[in-house]
Amino acid sequence: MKYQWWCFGALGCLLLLGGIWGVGGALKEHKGNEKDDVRCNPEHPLTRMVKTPAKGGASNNESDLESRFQIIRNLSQDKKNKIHFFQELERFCKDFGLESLSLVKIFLSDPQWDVRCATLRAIALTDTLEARQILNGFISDGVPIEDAAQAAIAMGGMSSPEVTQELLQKLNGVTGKELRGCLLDTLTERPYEQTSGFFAGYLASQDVPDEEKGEVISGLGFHQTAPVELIVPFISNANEEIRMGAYQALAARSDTTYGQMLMARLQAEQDPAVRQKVYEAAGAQQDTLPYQMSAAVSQESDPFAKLRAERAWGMTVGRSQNSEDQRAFGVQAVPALVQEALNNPDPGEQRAALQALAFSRTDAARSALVKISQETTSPRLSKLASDLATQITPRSKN
Amino acid sequence: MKFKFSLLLVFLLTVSGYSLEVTVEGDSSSAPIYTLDGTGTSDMYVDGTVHVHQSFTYSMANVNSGVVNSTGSYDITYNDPYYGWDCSFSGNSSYAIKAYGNLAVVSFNHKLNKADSGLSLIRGVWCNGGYITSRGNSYVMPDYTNGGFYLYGYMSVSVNGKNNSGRVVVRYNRNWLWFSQTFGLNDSLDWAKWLGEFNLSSNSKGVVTGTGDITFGDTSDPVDTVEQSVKGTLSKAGVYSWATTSVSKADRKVKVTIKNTASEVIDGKNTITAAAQSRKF
Repeated sequence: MKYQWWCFGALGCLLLLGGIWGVGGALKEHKGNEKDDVRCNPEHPLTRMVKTPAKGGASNNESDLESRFQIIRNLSQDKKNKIHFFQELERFCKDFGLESLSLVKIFLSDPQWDVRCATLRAIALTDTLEARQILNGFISDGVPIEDAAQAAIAMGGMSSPEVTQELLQKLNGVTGKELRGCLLDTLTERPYEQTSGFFAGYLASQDVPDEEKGEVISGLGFHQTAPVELIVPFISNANEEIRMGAYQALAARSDTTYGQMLMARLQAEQDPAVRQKVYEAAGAQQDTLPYQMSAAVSQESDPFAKLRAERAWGMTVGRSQNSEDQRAFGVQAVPALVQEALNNPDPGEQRAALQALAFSRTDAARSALVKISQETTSPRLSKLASDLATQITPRSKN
Repeated sequence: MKFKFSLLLVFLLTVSGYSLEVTVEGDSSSAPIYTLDGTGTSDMYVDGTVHVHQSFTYSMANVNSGVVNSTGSYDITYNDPYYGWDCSFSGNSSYAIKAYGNLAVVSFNHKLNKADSGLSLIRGVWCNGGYITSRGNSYVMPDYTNGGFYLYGYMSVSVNGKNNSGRVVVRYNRNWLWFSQTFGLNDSLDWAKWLGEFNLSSNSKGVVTGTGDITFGDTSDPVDTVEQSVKGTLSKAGVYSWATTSVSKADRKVKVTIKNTASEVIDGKNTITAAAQSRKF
C-alpha cells in the first residue's frame, strides 16, 4: 500500500513538473527569448520538434494558427515592446505561410508606419505569389513613401525570379523620384543574371539622367551583384557623375585589381573633388602599390584630395608585408596625419586622418592614434582614436 | 524616448534690416539625419540563436554619401552540440544608409577574418582559419523601452572554415537570416542630430543670397560640418524661398531648401538632404 502511494506521489510530482515546464516554456516563448528559441534556427536539432509547415502554407492546425495570431494581436497592444511584436509577426508569417496572410493584413491599415512596414516585411517572408500581389499594390505613387519603399525592399528580398520583372514594371509606372530611387537600388541587389539586360539598356539610355546612372553604378558596386567588368568602363565616361559613381563602386570592391587603371585616371581628373573618389577607389584595389600612392600624395596639391590620397596610401601599406613600406609611411605620412587629426577645423577631415592611420596598421600609426587620443580636445575623436589604436595588432604578432 | 515623426523644428529668426538669421535643426524625433559615427559595442543575435558581440568603430568622414567605414572585432558564440560557435574575428565593414520618409534602411557588407591562427569552433568544427562574408539590409528602429535604438533585418551569410593545412572544412551559405542588433556603451554614437545656421540678405529686387553651414552630430563635438551658400527669392508677400549648395563639390549632395517668412519657417515646405537621406520638415 505504501509503495502504491509513493508511486502516485511520484507520478503527481512528474505531472506537476511537466505542467510547470510547459507553462514556463510557453511564457518564455511569449517573452520572445531569442537566444533560447530553437524555432529561429531551422537546422537546430530541436527544430524538428517544432511543427513548421512548408513554404506557401501547408495545412496547419487551425487552432494553432488562431491561437498564435491571438498572441500576436495581444503583443500589438504593447506599444513599448514593438520589437517583440514585429518579431513574432514575422515568425508567424514564416511558419504559417499563405494561411497567415489573411490574418496579418489587418495590420496593413494600422495608423503607425512602423507597424505597416513590419507587416510588409512579414508578408514577404511567406515568399508566395499572394504576398507578391499584396506588396505590388503598395509600390505606387500616392502611397506613403515608407510603405511603398518598404514593399519594394521586402519584395526585392523574395526568391522568385519573377520579382525582378515585377519590380521593373513598377519602375516604368512610378514617377516619384524617391520611390524610383528605391526601386533602382532594390534592383541593384537582385541577382545580376536577372537584371543584366535591363541595366545594360538603362546605362546606355540617353533619357536617363546622368546623376541617376551614377547612383545605380555605385549601388551595383556596393551590393557586389554585378561583375566588376561592367563597372570599369564607366571610369572613363565623358560624364563626371557617371565617373564618380564608377569610382565609388570600385571603392566598395576590395577584391579587385584595377589599381593601375585608376592611377592613370589621376592625370585625367582635373577636379580635386573627383580625384578624391579616384584615390578612394585606387586604395581599395589589391594591385595598387604603396610607392605609387606615396608619389601621388607628393604630387597632390588640393588638401582634401591629398588627405584621401594619404588614406589610400594607408590602405596599401596595411596590405603590404614590406617593412620599408611601413617605415616610409611612418616617416612621411604619419606626422602629417597627426596634424590633420589635431588641427583641421573640419571634423570630417579629422576622421579621414584617423582612418588613414588605422588602415595602415603600422606601429607608428598606432602610436600616433594614442597621441591623438591624448591630445585632441574632442572627446568623441579621442575615443575613436583610442579604439582604433587598440584594433591595430602589432605586425610581429600576426 | 518617444519617437514622434510630426516635426519639431527649432527655429530662430532675427530681422535686422534686409538680413535675416535662420537656424533650423533636427534630431531623432524630427527630420533625423543618421550619421553612424562613434565607438561602442553591440550584441547581435543571428537567426535568434548565434550571439555576435561586436566592438566597433564607425566613422563617417564625409556626410555627402551615406557610406560608413567600420572596423572592429566580432566574438561569435553559440552553445550547441552540433553547430556551436566560439570564435573571434576581426573585420572591415561598409554601411550605406538610405532613408525613405521615416523608414531608415542600413545596407551593409561585412568581411570578417578569423582573428588568430589558433583552434576555434566555427559552426561545430574546430578550425584554424576562416572568414565570413555577409550582406543585407536592416532597419533603424527606436527602442521604445530603453530610449535608444536597434537595428534589425535580414542578411545572407557565407561562412568558410579551414583546418591547419588550409583545407576548407566548413562551408555554409544561407540567405534570409533574421538578426537583431542592440547597442551598448555607445554614448558617442550620435545618430540623428543636425543644425543649420544661415545668414540671408535680400536686395530691392527680391534676390536672396547668403552663407551658412550645417553641422552634423552634437554641435559641441560634431561629426562633420559642411559650408553652404544660399540663393533664393523674397516674394512681395514676404516669403523667402531659398536653397543651399555646398561650397565644396565633394559635399555637393548636402543641401537644404527652406521657405520662411520674417517670423517663422513654413511647416512642411522644407527639406534637408545629406548622407543619402532626404527629410521633409
